Amino acid sequence: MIASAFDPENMKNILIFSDGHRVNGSELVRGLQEHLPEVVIITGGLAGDGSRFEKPLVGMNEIPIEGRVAAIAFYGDSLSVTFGSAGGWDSFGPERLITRSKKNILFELDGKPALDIYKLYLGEYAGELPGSGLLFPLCIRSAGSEKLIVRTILGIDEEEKSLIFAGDMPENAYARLMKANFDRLIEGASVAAQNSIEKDLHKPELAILISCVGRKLLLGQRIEEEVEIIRALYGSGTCLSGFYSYGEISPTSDFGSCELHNQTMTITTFSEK
Amino acid sequence: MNKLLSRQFKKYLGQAKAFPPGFDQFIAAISESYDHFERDRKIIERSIEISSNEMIGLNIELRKEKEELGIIQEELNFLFNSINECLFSIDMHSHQLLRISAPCEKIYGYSPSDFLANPELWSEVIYPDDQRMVNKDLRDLYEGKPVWNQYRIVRKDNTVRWVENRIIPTINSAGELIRIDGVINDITDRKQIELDLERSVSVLEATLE
Repeated sequence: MIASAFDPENMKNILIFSDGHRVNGSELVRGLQEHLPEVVIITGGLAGDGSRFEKPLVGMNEIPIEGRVAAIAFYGDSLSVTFGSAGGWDSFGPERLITRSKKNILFELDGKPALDIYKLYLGEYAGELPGSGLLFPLCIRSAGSEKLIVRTILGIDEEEKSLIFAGDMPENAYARLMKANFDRLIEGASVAAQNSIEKDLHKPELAILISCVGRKLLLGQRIEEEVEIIRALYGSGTCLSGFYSYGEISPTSDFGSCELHNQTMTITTFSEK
Repeated sequence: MNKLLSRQFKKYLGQAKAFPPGFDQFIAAISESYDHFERDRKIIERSIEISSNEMIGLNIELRKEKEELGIIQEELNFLFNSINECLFSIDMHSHQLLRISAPCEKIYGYSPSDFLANPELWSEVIYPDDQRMVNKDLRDLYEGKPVWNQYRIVRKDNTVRWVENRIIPTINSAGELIRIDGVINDITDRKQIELDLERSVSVLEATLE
């Protein structure tokens, strides 16, 4: 629906801002990719509301509301759009098999309720779920593949002992808990900015920084270092803007397909030649 | 205020009461970062402890499984070498004989090490007139079909014996034959009775005609 509302001819980039609570980010990305030409760079993020997980609001030329997906398409021969995305998390502990899940809802890991595993690890902070679940994202990989995708918790269901994630949690994939390393998180922001510069070889005029809310909760007052390190790389000529998200959207590499990321700093840059 | 920060205040600033304007906010920010640090440390320490216990648990489980597998392996080896039939397995990618059980010596006159040293030996011992028939049957294995056949072999002492061979193929997801497992037994006595019987029937039929 969103993709077909735009003229795909000569489209450079489509910037997506979506409700991150009601929308399954993986499905949103899949839908956009199916209906847009491969050359279009799809970037953006899922809006959040801090650690409340209640009511993320999105709007464009209107009062922001729940459940809204907003998109802006960019065209023009003189427009240059680049992107960069990086995390900085470390996996730890045993790898567990996803034994029961449905789309973005995870019920069981190794045959045990997923919520119980999180409660065990969080101890006294389990009462702060789903917010405290952001401290332990899951990194998942399909059997036989080495490609890792990070997924973060957006909600819990006490009755079903399940966890709701920002993107798909496929059955028979392997999942491993992740923990933060503060310096590597900040370095991740720097890597994202460097990647965006390398693609265009000059500093952008506008950079939209979309950083996962989990990073903000963890880094606390140090979260400003993310922006500082990016500012130092881009210099004072780049206008910086952005928000803390429940999911980030960008391609994985120059030729890679677009994916929903979690717990990353994802940057989209714009400049005119 | 964070406990450690409060102690540091007392230790380094004594009972100082007057602070510059805005100082409260500054102290609150420091106190918050102390709390934040302590909370993260607590969570990380807890997660390392739980994860280490999980890893130790998995390690114990793996060791136990390994011991159990060892016992099963011993039992299988005993069974493998104690029955009268000769069991064998061949890796069809490398055409290497993976294993062959001890009764092969009774059937062929050659020991398992003779077969392991010469991958072509099993083919070389087939009686020349039966060679083509055996090769034709083996083609079925590449289509995933089990093979059951009877043919003659030439033992090490040059005597000729009849054997019965049953082979089960294993095909991978790409449709390639990757392994065969088989059972061979000596059926010479049975075959001799069958042949004698056939001969008697022929003689009887000829006489009746």
